[in-house]
Amino acid sequence: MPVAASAAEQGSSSGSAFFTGIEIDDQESHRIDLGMALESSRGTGFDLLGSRSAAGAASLDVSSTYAFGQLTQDFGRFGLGAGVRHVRDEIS
Amino acid sequence: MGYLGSAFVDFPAARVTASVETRSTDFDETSFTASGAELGLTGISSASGVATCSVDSLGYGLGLSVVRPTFSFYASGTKFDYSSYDCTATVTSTTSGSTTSPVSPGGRAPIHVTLPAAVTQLASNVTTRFGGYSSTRVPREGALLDSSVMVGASFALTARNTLGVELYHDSEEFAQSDTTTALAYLAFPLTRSVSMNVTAGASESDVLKNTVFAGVKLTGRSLAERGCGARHGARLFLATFSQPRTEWYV
Repeated sequence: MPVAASAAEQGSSSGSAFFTGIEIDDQESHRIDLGMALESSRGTGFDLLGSRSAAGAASLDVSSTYAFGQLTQDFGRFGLGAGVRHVRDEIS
Repeated sequence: MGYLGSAFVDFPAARVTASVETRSTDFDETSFTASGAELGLTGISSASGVATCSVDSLGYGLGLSVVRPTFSFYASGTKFDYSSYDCTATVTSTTSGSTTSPVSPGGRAPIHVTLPAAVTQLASNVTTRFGGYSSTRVPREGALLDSSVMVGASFALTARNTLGVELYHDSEEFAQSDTTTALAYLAFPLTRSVSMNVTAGASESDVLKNTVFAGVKLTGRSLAERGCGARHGARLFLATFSQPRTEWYV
């Protein structure tokens, strides 16, 4: 949400955006994200997001793979969206 | 696998977003020990074996955002209803009184268990091991949450630099664990088409050590269609509603 709510970004974005990011913490965990958001001039949007995270705790290893896709339609004063997501968590 | 439907309505002062998600979660096969009563077995004190369980849930989300030229405020919450529980349990040994007897192969058909308490017990080896990992090491959508709420605000430091703060609280359904996460981020342009978002924060969990984290995100935007930023921003809000924080902090 901050991406959308960022006042500084209002008026400077475009019909497509691609992003990637990484997060690390002090518990030997990391996470990598990748995604894109496309929008046609008629307000039809497509979002595709994915992430992979892994945590190497002392007694437990956890990893998670996440994928999300969504189609949206902006009608002006309102909008609709439908999406699907898949998550696989693994522990060892 | 989850299927999400969402909608937003714009009012003069704010945008309201709503979402509904159905989700089916399958657990890997896990060993269990349960009482005969929990499994519906008469004349047996307890039974051990392996179980394959699944749970279906519905998530209801509501969000609010207010965007002004120099600041924004946003909040959202999602409540999950676990309506369908299911386990297929294969008993490998039973105890009657103090005597434990192995069940011969083919001697007992798998048991179908649908009582929430019994399913929770059978799947506990899987579900409790994830306790506290929500939001810090596993995306919220990968955790079996009871509820998740967040509030945030961002402020325009300059024409192109933004400072934001956010607070999350997640309650897990099976692990009886709560996690609170606070973070701050700074967004600024690197080039004309690439911006950077730097985030730092901390999570406090009931069952895990407190975690301090930092992240960086690079976002590239097409310059071919400048001028539709408000619409694009609105759609990103819709897309990221109820998403893991790292998708956007990033």
